[in-house]
Amino acid sequence: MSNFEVLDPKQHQTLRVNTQPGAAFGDDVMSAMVFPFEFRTLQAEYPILFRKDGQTGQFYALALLGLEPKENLYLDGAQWIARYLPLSARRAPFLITERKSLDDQKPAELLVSIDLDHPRTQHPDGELVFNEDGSNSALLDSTIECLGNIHAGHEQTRHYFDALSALSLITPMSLEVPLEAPLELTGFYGIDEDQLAALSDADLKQLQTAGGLEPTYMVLASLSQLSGLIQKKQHRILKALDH
Amino acid sequence: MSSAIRNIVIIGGGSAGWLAAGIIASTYAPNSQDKGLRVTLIESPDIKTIGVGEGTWPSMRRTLKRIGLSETDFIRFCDASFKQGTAFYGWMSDPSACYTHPFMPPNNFDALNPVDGYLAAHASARFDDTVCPQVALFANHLAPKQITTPEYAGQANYGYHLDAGKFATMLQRHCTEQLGVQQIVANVTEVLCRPNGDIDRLKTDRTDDLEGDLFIDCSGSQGLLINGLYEVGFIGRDDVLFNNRAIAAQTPYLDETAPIASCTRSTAQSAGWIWDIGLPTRRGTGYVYSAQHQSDDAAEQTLRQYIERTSTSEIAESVQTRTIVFEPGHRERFWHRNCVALGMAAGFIEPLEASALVLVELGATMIADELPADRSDMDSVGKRYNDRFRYRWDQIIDFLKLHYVLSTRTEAYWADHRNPSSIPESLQSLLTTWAYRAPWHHEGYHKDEMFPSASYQYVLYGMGFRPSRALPKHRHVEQDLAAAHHTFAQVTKQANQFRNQMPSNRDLLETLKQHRFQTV
Repeated sequence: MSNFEVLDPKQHQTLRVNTQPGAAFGDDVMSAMVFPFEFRTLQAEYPILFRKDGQTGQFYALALLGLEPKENLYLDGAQWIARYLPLSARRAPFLITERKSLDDQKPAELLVSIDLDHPRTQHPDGELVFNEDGSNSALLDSTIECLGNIHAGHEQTRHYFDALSALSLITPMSLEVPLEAPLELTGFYGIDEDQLAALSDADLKQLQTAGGLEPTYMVLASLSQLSGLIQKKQHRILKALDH
Repeated sequence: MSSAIRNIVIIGGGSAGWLAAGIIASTYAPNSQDKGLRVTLIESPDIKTIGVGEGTWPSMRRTLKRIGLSETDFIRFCDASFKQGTAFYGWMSDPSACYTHPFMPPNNFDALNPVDGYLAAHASARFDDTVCPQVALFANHLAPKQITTPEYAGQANYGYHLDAGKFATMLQRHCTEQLGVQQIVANVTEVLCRPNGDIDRLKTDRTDDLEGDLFIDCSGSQGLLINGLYEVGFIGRDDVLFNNRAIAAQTPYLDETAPIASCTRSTAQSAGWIWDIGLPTRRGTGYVYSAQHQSDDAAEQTLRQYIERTSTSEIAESVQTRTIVFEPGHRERFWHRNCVALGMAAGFIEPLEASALVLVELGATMIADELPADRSDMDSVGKRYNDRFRYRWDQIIDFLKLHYVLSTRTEAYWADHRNPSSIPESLQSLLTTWAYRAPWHHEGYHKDEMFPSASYQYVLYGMGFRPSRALPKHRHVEQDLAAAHHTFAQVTKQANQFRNQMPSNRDLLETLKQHRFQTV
């Protein structure tokens, strides 16, 4: 279970956080939520797909990391083999929360919290969150930047999917993985390429103005990473047979 | 002389008028530069629409999509909720007996007639939940879909409960703002005809004359054109269906977490039945009865007793009631010259199977899809329209009557309903066949069938109908029984999945206040 506390230099002066990748730290996930501003970098490593949030029915984007639940094919022991890690995979055990001001005129305050029960927290091999003088450690500074970007990314995600929906550019996608025991991945969505190709000049302009054109082509380009992912899976199956 | 049909004038701005305007205008882009169709709706400033809770058929999903409305906007605006069928209480002499008519057919219905298997091995259980997993949904007030389900799609088939007044307002806005329908608020003072008897124009008390090629009479039971002008005869059907009064009341929920029923509840009384439909903010309740069999005072008391039983005595005493008098029946013809009657101007019958709005949908859809190119073809289209809708009215009346014919209640009203002289020949002959052969796909000879054979099965076997004559033993009887057994086991499994997966009607409606269904 989670046990979140708002970060405080006095209270958390000796707190350490282990930043190493690893299944034991919760990196054994089949996908990671991603944001449109990451798509350009992501598409060189991961397939980007869309999915609906089960609670709200709203779309979000994800990088596909594996082909089965709890399978991260980019993870090899304590190494995450990729040149770029999705921001959301670097977040834990930190979380950003909004504290709404009682005064409606003032913007909500953003707070950084930490999950004290997370396996990364209070690890003897970890890095300190605060320096001895109470100032932010390098880890915390980079975390704050990461959390800020994630916060902005949620807003960007909403705008991006509004733009795609308005032009009917989202289509259901089911992936058939050609393995010895074939897998079928369902519940995913992607870009409707026919619809995209048929957009009028005015619609294209609208998509570009909304900042949706580049991410959309990045999503299309990312699909070429699917074959790499399947290859990783095949290697893993072979390796398991060897042992 | 033959003139092209370019101007359609609709008289009446209730849900029938605006629904017809939406269906026709969304079919023919009226704003386009070319000679697109012009749709004008005239409504009286003096007639207020009343917010009656009303049920729809699943066909309404297709209709709303066709008109171009988002399902989320529709549900939010019209105080709408999901309806998955009707549950009948007290229709048999055993007061605890209940049966339902779900919108989904029995599982595997295309390949398997479930009746033999049901009667052979499951006849002591209920028919509906033996053959259809949807019963598990509305028995637990669960929704037919999830927030992740695309708009107008469902894991289970569904229609809506809605506030008819708000529905008309939403359609009016959409028609005038998006579909180019011209709205005129005025009273019709005079109808001017051409020498051949066609309607030429309407004079009003506050605008120029309204010319038209086709006039759609949605003016309610008065039937301004179909009756007032053309005096097309009215066929009373109170010899078959006696109910001619309704007393309605809006019943509040006891608190904000009370379940919202996801089917219409119909509870039989001594001289009629009470409807109970769950909207997000209140229940719509009402007693529809026969004035020949019960006084208005006694009827009001019956309704208040029902509300007391299902709510509190304070609410039962304090709710406002409204009485509606109607004559069950329909016009001899609905399309006459260049005039078509829709909604209550065409006819009205007790809302036992919520047939009012669906008849407007079907009528307006046929007008839109089979619109004559010019006047010369209008009479033949009108003839087809009249044949088709007369058949549909007869079918609805037969199907409603079936609920009464099978009842075992003993009060005079119910005994009168079983009097053979009150049963149409068409229904009697079906009953004769069903006495040895269960309805299945044999009856589907007509493309305009209002009710699929599944609906007849739900009523017949839900009300305990049993074959009275035997056929020779079927060659594949063992195989068929095995298939039925297998299918019924699947029903049980799917019902369990539904119970585990689907949100409650109220939870989904709450989520919809914040979030939207996607289009895919």
